[in-house]
Amino acid sequence: MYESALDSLITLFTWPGPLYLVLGSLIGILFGILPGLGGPQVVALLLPLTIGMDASHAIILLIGAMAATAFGGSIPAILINTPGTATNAATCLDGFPLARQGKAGMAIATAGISSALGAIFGAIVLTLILPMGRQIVLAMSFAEYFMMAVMGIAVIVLVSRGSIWKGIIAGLVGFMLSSVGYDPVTGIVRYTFGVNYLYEGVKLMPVLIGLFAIAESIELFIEKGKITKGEVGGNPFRNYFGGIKDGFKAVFSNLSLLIRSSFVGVVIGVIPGVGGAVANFMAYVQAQQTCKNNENFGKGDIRGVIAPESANNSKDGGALVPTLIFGIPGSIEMAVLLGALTIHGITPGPQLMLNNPSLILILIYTLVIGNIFVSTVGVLAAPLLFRVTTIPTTYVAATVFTIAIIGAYATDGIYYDAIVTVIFGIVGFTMKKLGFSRIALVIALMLGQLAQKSFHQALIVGGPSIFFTRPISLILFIGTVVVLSLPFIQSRKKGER
Amino acid sequence: MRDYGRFFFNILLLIFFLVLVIISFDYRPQARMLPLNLGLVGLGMVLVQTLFDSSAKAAQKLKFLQEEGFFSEAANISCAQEKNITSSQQDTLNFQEWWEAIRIFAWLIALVIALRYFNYIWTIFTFIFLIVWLEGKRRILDALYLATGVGIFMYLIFVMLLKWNI
Repeated sequence: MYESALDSLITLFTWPGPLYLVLGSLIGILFGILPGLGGPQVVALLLPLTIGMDASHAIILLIGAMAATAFGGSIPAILINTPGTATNAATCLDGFPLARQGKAGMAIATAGISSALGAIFGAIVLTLILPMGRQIVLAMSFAEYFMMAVMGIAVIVLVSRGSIWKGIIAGLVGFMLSSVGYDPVTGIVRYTFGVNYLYEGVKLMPVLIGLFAIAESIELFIEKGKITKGEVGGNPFRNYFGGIKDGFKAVFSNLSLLIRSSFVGVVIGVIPGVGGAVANFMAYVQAQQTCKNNENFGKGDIRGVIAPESANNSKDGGALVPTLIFGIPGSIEMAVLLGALTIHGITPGPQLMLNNPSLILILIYTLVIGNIFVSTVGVLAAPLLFRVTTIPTTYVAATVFTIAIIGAYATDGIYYDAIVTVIFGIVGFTMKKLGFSRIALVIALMLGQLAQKSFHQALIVGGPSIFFTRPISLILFIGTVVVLSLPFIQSRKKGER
Repeated sequence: MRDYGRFFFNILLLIFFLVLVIISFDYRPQARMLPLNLGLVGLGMVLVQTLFDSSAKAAQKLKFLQEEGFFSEAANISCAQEKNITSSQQDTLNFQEWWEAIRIFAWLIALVIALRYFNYIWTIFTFIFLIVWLEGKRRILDALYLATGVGIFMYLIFVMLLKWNI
């Protein structure tokens, strides 16, 4: 595979390759910034434009766009506490408090550098892992997929702010919502109440847009005033250049955290169906638990930006492992990308590395160079983006309401999506105010189908004992029990003291 | 009951789980296995939560319901510092805040209904102008500028660039 490295680089840098890369990256960053629109939408929307294009150019355009959404999504997460994509949700936890302290420039620069370095880490791991990826994917079966889904939900409940009890309730609501529509095993249509729209289940995109973009905007609208609570300062450019310098300093003085978080991203990315939404939270928890002086996490600690941003970009490298080796998508983006590759006559699978190694390398190089380009653009555009924090919240909220609802509506052109968006906006606002975890609901909704399908398939294959006889499944089960009981053990210990 | 918003939401959750649990009996055992069992667990948990919220005596006995996630402490501190409120007050909204929220819900519902019947660019323009002017209490000219700006942006992105026909 590595003999084709030079050929791949030549293809990438021969005109019009760079044009497609720049075009894809710019469109991707725009989609990342718009709440609710992300990697799957941008790949799906660009796909028709690539028909008739050379396969390598199509890959450059699509991967360039997909790679850019993760960093693009961190910009609204930092500036208006609304993640542009689900993979940036954890960035809000410290990014937004930093913006409120007047350090939005530093946070964006840090996110940009972490994203680029995370992507490079992911690409290196992908390059090394591809030849032996077969064994990794084969080690996971239905029992492991089920346990991974359960553990994903458990971790999110633990990470969420507020009551764990309410977090579990929110997770169960998400799981029940994931049961709507066709049952993946029996084919029976469940809980649709005769509404045709629900036959395909509760769509993730309108739910995400409603729970985050709309709910946050309702709060912003009520709050009135400006997004930033800190002093922005008279000269935004002075703050900006200081911010970039501080951002560089912060990333390079926390290189080990960046590597650890990128590693978490890659590992989560490799597991099919789990994806970046889990990776960024896992990385955040890891950072919070392993860093010294962690009392500022959640209040504006720059390490709370480095961890999720490096993980959500490195996860793409990991997610490409099962996608390319077995044709099993590692995330929603990868599922759409898989379709795009097939349309271009590229069949992912073990034969791909033998028959078309240069295409794989083009894909990897685009991932790296696209991320570096997007991060540079993002960092350079920071003064403009920085100004967003000084806009009255009423203006931002009114704009987000319309973009979010139209974005949800336009994704598939289905009117019901706009209705679902508003319903979940109201539900999300209420959940936030009453202390129910919205992230738990979303993760359970995402993983519910996978969990149900894997659960039944595992039962068919090996009966109930399969969950406890396969070593990885057992480890994941024990991990879930430990994760859920940890806070109770900790509080009992505190009580005893 | 500490507040009506909380009570109303708990009741909605109870109805949600109850309806799904009852309906699941119509499905084959394999199709209902997970939703039925997890729905029953959810129903029980919401019942306990409602009990916890409705009586101080029950809340005293059900202390484990207050167990919080890893980041709650930091989040509560920063939130309380910002708004100068105590931790116990954070999960509640006063009548004024609920009233403001309900008004915004109504604006959003009106937007979605209008999208069904009118051109979406004009609907967005009108919505932004009215909500910023009337609800946000901003100057009429500022509302007009914003509505025009967003309208043009949406036209360029959705009509010209993406050719979305909705």
